[in-house]
Amino acid sequence: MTRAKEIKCVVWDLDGTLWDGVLAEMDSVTLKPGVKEVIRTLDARGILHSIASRNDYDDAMHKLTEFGLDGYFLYPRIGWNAKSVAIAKLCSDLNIQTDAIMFIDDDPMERDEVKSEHPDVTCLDASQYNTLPAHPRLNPRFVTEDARQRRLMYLADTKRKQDEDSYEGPKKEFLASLKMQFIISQAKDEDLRRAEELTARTNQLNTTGRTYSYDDLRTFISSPKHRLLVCEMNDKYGSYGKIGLALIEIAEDRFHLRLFLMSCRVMSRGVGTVLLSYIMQEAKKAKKRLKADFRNTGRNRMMHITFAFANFRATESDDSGNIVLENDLSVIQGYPSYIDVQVR
Amino acid sequence: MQPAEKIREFISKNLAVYDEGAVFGDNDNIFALGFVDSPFAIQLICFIEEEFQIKVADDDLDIENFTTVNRVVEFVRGKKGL
Repeated sequence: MTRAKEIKCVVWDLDGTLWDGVLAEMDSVTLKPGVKEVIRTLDARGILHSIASRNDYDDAMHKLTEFGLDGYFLYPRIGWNAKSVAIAKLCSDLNIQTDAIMFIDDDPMERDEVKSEHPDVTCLDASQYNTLPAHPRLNPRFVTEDARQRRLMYLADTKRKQDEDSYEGPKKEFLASLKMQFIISQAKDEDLRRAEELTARTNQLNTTGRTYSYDDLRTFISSPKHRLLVCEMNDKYGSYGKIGLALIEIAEDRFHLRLFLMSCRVMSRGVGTVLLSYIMQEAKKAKKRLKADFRNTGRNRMMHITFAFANFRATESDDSGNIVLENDLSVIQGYPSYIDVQVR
Repeated sequence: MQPAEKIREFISKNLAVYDEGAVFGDNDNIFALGFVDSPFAIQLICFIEEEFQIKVADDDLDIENFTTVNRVVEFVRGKKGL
């Protein structure tokens, strides 16, 4: 049996759902008892919250601020559009699928409207709000440090994108203004949940698409024949969390890169190339050849391009899209001045 | 605009160059000019495909095709059978 997919975001209605009463009709509305704790509990598990409500935006946000809840909701949609439209927009903003959304509203007509447009959305009546913490799809199997920080990372990223869109001037100057730090380290026990999550969640910037379980990864960190590298990144807006992973198999004469992936969060920052440079330097230092696996998954052409531009060349291939590349280590780009690279 | 000019313009606009205002010729190695990171590489491939209406196949993904403006021009010509 396959496990039902985990819910990544709960979308709340306001009037009659988050609070008792109708904001436009009365001066004081009161939060549903215990709703704040429900929101905090889920937030701490890495589950995001948003809003789809028919209300005046400023009035509603003002009220949420009064309740101390405004910071918990990402991309709140408060206005007069259909809620199915609000949810479609939210999915694209958060880059998630509709089947990872739970929508909670006291009005059955609103739930039906959403359901008719997005059959995959899980809809719940407002009276059920207290059952959310026990809901199986709101109980992730494990909660990583990255999950706990997820909302803050989204908030930082929104600010980052706004600033980037409005920046005019040389690209290097902009990149330098970010004060990026890229930290490469040997994976430790506490990194493995996140590492497992990365192999399962990362598709586009993944050289083979192979997934590895916690136990697989655990054997690698204690094996003298392997090195598992994990990367972390932060800039002046905050942390991106653990965003990259590389598995190197160490053979007699060569390093063989079995897995290399980066989270989409850092796609535009070029740190994949930095990590490749590091691995190339290490191979050269150890006087070994460097090989790498690549498997065309139909979605990861970007990684093939990344390899090619780092001077990797295909040496073997089979009919099912598996390629082995080799790097002669004759040219290794240094790190760019705008990224502070640290090896720990 | 000639293909070489288009490519040169694309590179100067999108590469995080080490030395702002540096002049580069069509035979200069772009890897000496700035940090050629993966987003730039991906943009360059997309640009070449769209601008010149060609498909860069997996087998074409070799650094030798992209190190200088002239190499790219030659590559595009070859693809178009010119």
